[in-house]
Amino acid sequence: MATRRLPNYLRTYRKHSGLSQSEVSFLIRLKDKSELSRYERSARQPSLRTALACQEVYGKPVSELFAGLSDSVARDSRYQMKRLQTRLQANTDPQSPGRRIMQKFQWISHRLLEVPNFKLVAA
Amino acid sequence: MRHKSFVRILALDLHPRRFGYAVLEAPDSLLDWGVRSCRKKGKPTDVLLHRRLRQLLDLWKPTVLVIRTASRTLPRQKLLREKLLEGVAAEAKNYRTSVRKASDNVETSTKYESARRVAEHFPVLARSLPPQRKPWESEDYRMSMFTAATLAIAELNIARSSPEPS
Repeated sequence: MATRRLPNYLRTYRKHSGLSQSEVSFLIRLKDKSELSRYERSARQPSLRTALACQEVYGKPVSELFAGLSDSVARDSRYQMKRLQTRLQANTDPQSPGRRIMQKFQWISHRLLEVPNFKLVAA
Repeated sequence: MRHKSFVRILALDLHPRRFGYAVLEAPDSLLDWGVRSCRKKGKPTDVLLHRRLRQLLDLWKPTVLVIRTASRTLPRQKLLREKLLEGVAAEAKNYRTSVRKASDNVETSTKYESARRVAEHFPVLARSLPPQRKPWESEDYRMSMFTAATLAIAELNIARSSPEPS
């Protein structure tokens, strides 16, 4: 009975602030409230400028406002890092690995240790 | 930051022409709340289920949907209520949401006291807390929102206290 985080929590933070959609769209310089409604329903993804404006208005980091999206990007990045690590490993000669490749390999390995494992935990 | 999983609960307090709702993800994380109603003539069930409830299910994608089942209702009301409950269960099935029915048999305090406790727990709801009802007054429509929040908190506590699957 576990579920992932929602793509965004814009509606939650707006309701907690007590502001209406029209007021928030005025604050973050949107054309009208329907645009904000689309972002809240995850029907559209806002531009980087709008996302940063939301961060300023609500006082929460973008990764928290767009929690689900942030999680999926993190998972995908980790997956890509693992792929690149495997590719570098395959291209390296174990007898005499090149310095640049070794540096890349070590950097990715270090990053993978730093980034937590994004597996779904049972509730 | 480790990726966390959540149990998202949507609680409903159903009435023939409206329902109060509350969405919770954790005991301290109230995502959404409010009252959705249908004031137009005709069948309110269709509007409530296919427009108002579907919107909420689309938006919040809850894991569990909790509905309050009243212990004392008039026969005609009971019939309407059962029809509404059936509709809600069918709608929730489309979203793979499990439906739980919570009984209000064990209510030890008044609705107002429960609502006041909810408002203390979530100060953001305090501005919507209606004044205490006089015996000759009918219930404020906002009260159903607080009933739904109480249900959601109770269900969340049950979900959290249940043993973790191995």
